[in-house]
Parts: sequence; structure tokens; C-alpha cells
Amino acid sequence: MEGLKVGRKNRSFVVPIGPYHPTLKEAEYFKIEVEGERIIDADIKVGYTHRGIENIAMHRTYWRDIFLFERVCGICSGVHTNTFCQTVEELVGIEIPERAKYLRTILLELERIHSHLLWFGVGLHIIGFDTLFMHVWRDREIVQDILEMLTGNRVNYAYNKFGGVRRDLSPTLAKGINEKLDLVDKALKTLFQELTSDPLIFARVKDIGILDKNTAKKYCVAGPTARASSVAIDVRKDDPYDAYDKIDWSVSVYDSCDVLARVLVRYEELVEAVKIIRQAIKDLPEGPISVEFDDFPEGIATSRCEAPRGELFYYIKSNGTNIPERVKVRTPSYVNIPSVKPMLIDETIADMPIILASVDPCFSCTDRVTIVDIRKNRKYTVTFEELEQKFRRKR
Amino acid sequence: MQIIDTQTLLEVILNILVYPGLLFAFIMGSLFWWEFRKLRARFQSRVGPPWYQTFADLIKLFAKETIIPAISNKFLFVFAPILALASALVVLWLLPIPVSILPAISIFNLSFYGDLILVIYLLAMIEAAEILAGFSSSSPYGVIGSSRKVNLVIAYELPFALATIAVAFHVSSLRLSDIFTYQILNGPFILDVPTGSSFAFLAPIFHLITFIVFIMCILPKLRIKPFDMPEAECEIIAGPLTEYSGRLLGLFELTHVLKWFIIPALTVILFFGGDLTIVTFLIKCALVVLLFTFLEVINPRYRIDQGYKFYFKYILPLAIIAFIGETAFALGVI
Amino acid sequence: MKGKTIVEVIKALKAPATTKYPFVKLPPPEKFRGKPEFDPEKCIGCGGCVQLCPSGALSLEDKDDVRIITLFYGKCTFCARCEEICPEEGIKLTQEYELASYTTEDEIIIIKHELLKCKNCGKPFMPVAQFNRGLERIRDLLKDKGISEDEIRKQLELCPDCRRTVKNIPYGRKILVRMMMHE
Repeated sequence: MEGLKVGRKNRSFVVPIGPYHPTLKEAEYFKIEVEGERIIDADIKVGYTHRGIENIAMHRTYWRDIFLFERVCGICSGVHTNTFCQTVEELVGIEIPERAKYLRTILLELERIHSHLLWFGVGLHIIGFDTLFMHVWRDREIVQDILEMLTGNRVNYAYNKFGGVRRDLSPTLAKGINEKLDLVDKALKTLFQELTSDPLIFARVKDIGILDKNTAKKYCVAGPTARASSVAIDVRKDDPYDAYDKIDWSVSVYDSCDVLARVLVRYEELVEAVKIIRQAIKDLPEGPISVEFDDFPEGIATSRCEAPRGELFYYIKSNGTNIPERVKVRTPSYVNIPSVKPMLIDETIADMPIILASVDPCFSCTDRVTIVDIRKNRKYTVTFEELEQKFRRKR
Repeated sequence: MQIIDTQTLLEVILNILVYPGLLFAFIMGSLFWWEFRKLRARFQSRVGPPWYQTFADLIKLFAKETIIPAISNKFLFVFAPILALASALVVLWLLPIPVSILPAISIFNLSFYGDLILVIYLLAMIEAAEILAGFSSSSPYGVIGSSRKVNLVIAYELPFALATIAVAFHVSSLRLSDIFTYQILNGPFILDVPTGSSFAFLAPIFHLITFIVFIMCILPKLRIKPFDMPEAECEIIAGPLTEYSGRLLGLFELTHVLKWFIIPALTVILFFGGDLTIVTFLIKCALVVLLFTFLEVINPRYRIDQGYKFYFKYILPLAIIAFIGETAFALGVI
Repeated sequence: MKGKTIVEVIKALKAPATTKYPFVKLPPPEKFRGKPEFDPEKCIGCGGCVQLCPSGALSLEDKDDVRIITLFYGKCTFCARCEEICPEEGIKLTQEYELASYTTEDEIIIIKHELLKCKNCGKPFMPVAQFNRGLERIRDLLKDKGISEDEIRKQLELCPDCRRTVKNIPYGRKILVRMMMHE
């Protein structure tokens, strides 16, 4: 770790946040240059959790890749499989049955609830409110129980397959889910009352981390980060998939552009998600839950879904065999994390963790690595191919 | 009344080191810290640690490797925890604690005239030692943590001194054992109503204000929210103590354990006194710890500038009001 | 000011949200995806699960005249694809999730099937259980078409190479025509 380096001109020094830091859930490097408590510059380097998933996907069959892409991210694993299956279904040219669409919607909204409740807990922990953190995560367990009843596991649901879903929803299970959703409703109301009755929380999140509308559009942010800066984009409304165009729900947009707006956007999404699930269970049509198909034709297909963090985009190139030629994943955190830099300038270092957490970073998608050559005293960024060549030569 | 001066030197040393001195304070401090952690966990729907957790933590720390960073100022780095522990020990030996199990007026005290000022000074010295620790480690986290602590200490030490001296003015003595015996004779300070005054009903209000100011000012000393920003782990890992490990960290944590006995004891001695047995004394200390836990559990953490403003905008005026009120009562003006 | 928080905090004192696992075990819900287990009576050794397993936890080896199917829990992702594809309910996911152990050997499950030897060249090519189960499934069909079991066995007990020899093809074609003929 670097020691105390005092700049000559402006008495600034560098605080390294990461790669190992208690505030980060995964390893990333934020080089913050501060003057006293005020941040004057920030440098973000990602690439510490690069696992080479796209390369692995190119060597395995499509069916095996569903379970590979489930594990790109633990919090939003359902939406990754959903987008992958949607892309392949578009490639093959089939339409999944109506019942499967509704079931996929139920799963995606459940995942949104659990992801946002997780985010609430993490955000509250960062501002120091451990009590609410524990209480929110205790109430999140109800949602995890619902997911376990529906799919057989709390994470990595293995629910989607090409052509539909793998498990059905029986009426007793639907009743059980509705009962647990009542508990979730109560917990959400309590959370809102607790959040709004505390002036200390407002003091920590109001007018912090401003990202105005033009900067947001310039950085192409997605998801709640964009909707909190009055950029009204939501893939579920702009490009409907599954059953979102048949269910009555609304997009929440705020225009105060600060961390408080992002908190409120996510809270409203939580309430909407419970509404969507209840409606979907009520309107669930009868019928099969999957269709069969034969082959994977040659071609290119793209598809996108609204992950809890924003727009998730998949691209598949097929050469006619049952092994994909290229799969490209563009996750929403990849565009949200660089937008932290304009938010950080001129804020205090005490606000840095909550600003970073307010974009809900999920450091699970990377593609570059920085090499720091201590002997030659230089730093440079390489692509994966150069990295491969460099280390192959050494062996 | 048994006066300590007539005891033999051996008995004095035994009192200092075992009961109610070092060993007793260490055990009770660990148990109070455990009470804090357990209650906090239960308020948060968790189970919490077992009763021996603090002992286990300290034993583990003293068994680990001590690493001193190469870029630090090595002398100050090692000196800071020793300074903290020495200050805490002196404060501990100055506190008057009722030692008998059955009701009897028998207190342990080595206090002398003016020792209240020394207690205030040494409690601040413990914080100064942590500030020294942060700066000497010369890591960015330590420096930021220490600068935050400096801000905070500037903000709360003045109201703390005002509140403590207000109590002393009421009792008309700057000696801790006098405060203690005054409350044995007249009941706890917080309910004390001065006689022969037409504004006697105002006295409990001033006592309450003094108590609130005192409580608000000792929360940062015990790292209790909303005032634990120097140790905010989410931003600066562990604040001033980031670079400490092994035995040096063990010394700091030992000081913290002693603080968890000293500060509830000081609160009880100043405000809730009138104890004749050690049992009631400890029960009152446990209730004070319960109050601290409750304050921690319902609050998030202030940012350093917000905390600084809070102390100067709200607590310092209250402290001045309480001080003026108490002196007015004490001097017989009203 | 913090009324709701204080109420919630005091309500939480009633009981912690956690259970004293492992002294108190919580039963998982129905159809929870726990560890897969072979059913030796029903498994026919077809190897369908091995083809599908996304992580390679199931592997297959034909050694001498024995087919060994190995299941390694260390690689299993509990996706239930093997259960989905198995035609005979030979592998099922149970509700057990406590799989930790001190040795790797505990995590390896092996099922062995005797292989049927070709009547012509003697090469083992198919598990006996698969062969018998296959015959059982087409028993009614054979009865309808009037083909006796000995006749079909003469064809089926040859390995794929020997079935396609010039010597055997006429016999095979005859059986096939009789099976495909409509009444």
C-alpha cells in the first residue's frame, strides 16, 4: 500500500480505496486524491474479478452455458439466464408459451426485490446504521424463502431453459407465495417509515453525489442511476419482454439527481415489484411451460433485459453448431461505475462509499487488466490477448 | 468511615492490582463490553457473542504477530498505546468505588483535592494517544482517522469539562471522593434539590441538562454511534488504529476494556451515586451501559462536519446553560 | 422523531432471527435441490446424465466389461439436469445439503454396470440393465408384431459394428420390415 504522499503544489494526497477494503464487496481499485476531506480527483480501475467467462462459453455447448451464465453474478443470476435464453430463442426463432412468460416475470421480479433489499442493507451499513441493515436483511430472508420454494435454491435458480421454464407453479405454492408477500409488504412499509423518520439519514444522503441529466446521458448510465437523474429509460417499458406489457405497472423517475433520489427510485421499484408479482400470479394463464426445438441455426442474435441495476445486453454469434462462436455480455455495472467519477469530485471522502454504493456496483464484468511494472516504474493497460501472450511466453 | 490512609502498603497494592483495581476493572470492563455487544445484537435480531468473547479477543491479540510499518515513526508508534494504557490506569485508580458487599461505608479511593481535573485531563489524554497513534503510522487511513478525531475532540471536550465541573460546583468540591460522600448523604445528584431556594423546582431540570450533555460527550470516547466517525470502518478501515496489530493493538484494546469500566463508573459516581455496596454500584453501571446500547442502536453515523456542527450548535449552548444554572444554585444566587 | 425505529428495535428483542444451526436444523422446502443420489435398482447405465452435466461432475468410463459412472460432488452444481433427462428415475436430487467432509473419497459416488458382450466378436458395448430395460419396453410391440424374443435377441445382442456387417444386414432388414409393417 502506498504511504502518505504529500503533493508539493496543492497539499493533496492519495487515499487508495481497494483492492482490499471493507467498503467494497468485491475487489476494485479507486485511487482518490484528496485535499483534507475534499476529493479533487478519482481514478477507477476495474478488472480484478476477471474470470474469463466469455472464453469458457465459447468452448461449451449452449445448454451447458445456461448454467455458466447463471454464475456471472450471484445477485442477478436469474436475469442473466433469462437474457441468455431470450437471445437463443430469438436466434432459433421460437416463441415461448404464455404461462412460461408469466412465470419468468414472477422470477425476475422476485429477484429484483431481493437485490434491492440487499442494496438497502449495504447502503445502510455504509452510513453506519447497522440496526436497519440487520432488520432489512432479516426481512429479505422471506424473499429468499419464496425463491427456494419456487425454484429449489436461494441463489442460482436454474429455472430457465431454452423454450420456457423448468418448474411449474402449483396453486398451493401460489397461495404460499401470496402469504409471504404480505409479510414483505409489511416489512417495506416499516422500512419506509424508519427511513423517513430519521433526519440523520437524510443528512447523509440528501444533495450528495449529484449526477445531472446531461452528464448521465453522456456516460450512458442505466437503471435506477439513470432514472434518479430524470432519464426515463426502462427496458421493461421501452422494449417489453416476458409478460411486462400485459401487466399494469409504472416506472418511477425522480429528478433530484442525488443519492436520495436513487434510494427512493429503488424503494418504489420494490413496491411495484410486489404489485407485479401479485398480478402475475392472479393472471397466470394455463398451458405448457416450455416448447421444444431442434437445431441452432447460423446467425447473430441480441437481446436485452432490465436487471436490477440497469440494462443487461447479450450478443450471440452462432455458426450452426451447438457450440456458440461468440457470446458477449454487457452488464449495467460496466456503464454505471465510470459515472461515479463526476459524482465524486468536490465531495468529501466520508461520502465516497455511499456515493459508490448508490450506483449499486456489481463488479462482475470486466475486460481489462493494468500491469504495474515496479522495476521499470511504469503502468500500462493491456487487453486480454496481450496478457495471454505475455504469460504464455513465460511458461 | 474507613479511610484508606491507615491501611498498610500491602493492602493498598492489593487493592490497586486486584480488587477493585486492575483485575476487577478488567473483568468488569470485559463484561460490560460484552453486555453492550450482546444487547446490540439482540436489538438487531442477531444472537450475539458469548460472555467470554472479550477475553478471547484479547488473548488472541496478544498471541499474534506485531507488525510495525517501515514508514512509521517507530518510537511514537510504540509509545502511543503505552501512553493510553498508563492514562487509563491512573484514572482507574483515582475513582472512588464502594468495595464492600454488604452495605457499609467503605470506599476505595486514592483521590486527592483536584483529582477531578486530572480525570478530565487524562481521559482526554487517552484520546490524544490514539490521535498520536494514527499520525505516527503515516498511512492515509490513519492520518484521516486521526484528523477526524482531532476535530471531534475539539468539539466535545469543552462541553464535557463544563458538565463535569458543573457537578463539582454543586457539591462545592473538586475531589471525587467528596462528590461520592455528598451523594451518600444527600441522595443521587440527578434528583438533588437544594434547600432554601425559591427556584428549587428548576434544579432537576438543570441536573437533567447536565446529564444529557455529559452523556452526549462521552459517546465518542466509547466509539458509540452516532459519534464513531474516527473508527468508521466503511471508509477508513479502522481509523487511527489501522496499522496496529498483535500486542500493540492488544494494549489499545485493553485500554478500551478499561474505559468500558471507567466511564460507566464515572457516570454513576457523578450522577447516580449514593451506593453502599458494590452490587448496587455494578447494577447501576449495567443500566448506564444499557442506555449507551440503546443510543447506539437507533442511530446511524454522523459525518465529521455534521458531528462537529452538532456539538457546537446544540451541546455547547446546553452545557453553558447547565453550567450557569448549577453555579447559580451552588453560589446561592437563586 | 425515531418512533418507528425504537418500536422495531424493542420488538426485535423477542427472539433472534437465526437458529442455532447445527444443533437445530431447518428442513428445506419440498423439491429443494440437494445432493443427487443414484438408485441402483433403476439406473440402467445409459450415460444420458453424463452427456448433459454442465460442470462435468458425472463422468463415465468403460473398463474391461464394466461401465463405471462416477459422480463427484465437488463439481456438482445441483442443477437437476441429470434428474430431468434420466429415463428411469435412476438419479434423483435429495434434500440433503450437508456435504462437507474431511476426505475427497467421501465425495465420490460410483455406480458400476456389467456390460453385455457381443455374441459375435465378444466386445462389450452396452450395459446389461439398459439392454433388459429396453427389451421390457418393446415387449408389447414385439407381441403385436409377432416377433419372438429369441429372434430379436439374435439381432440386438450384436455390437453396432457386427450389426452392420455384410453377413448380418439381410437378417437385420427382415426384422426391421416386420416391425414396421402395419396390420
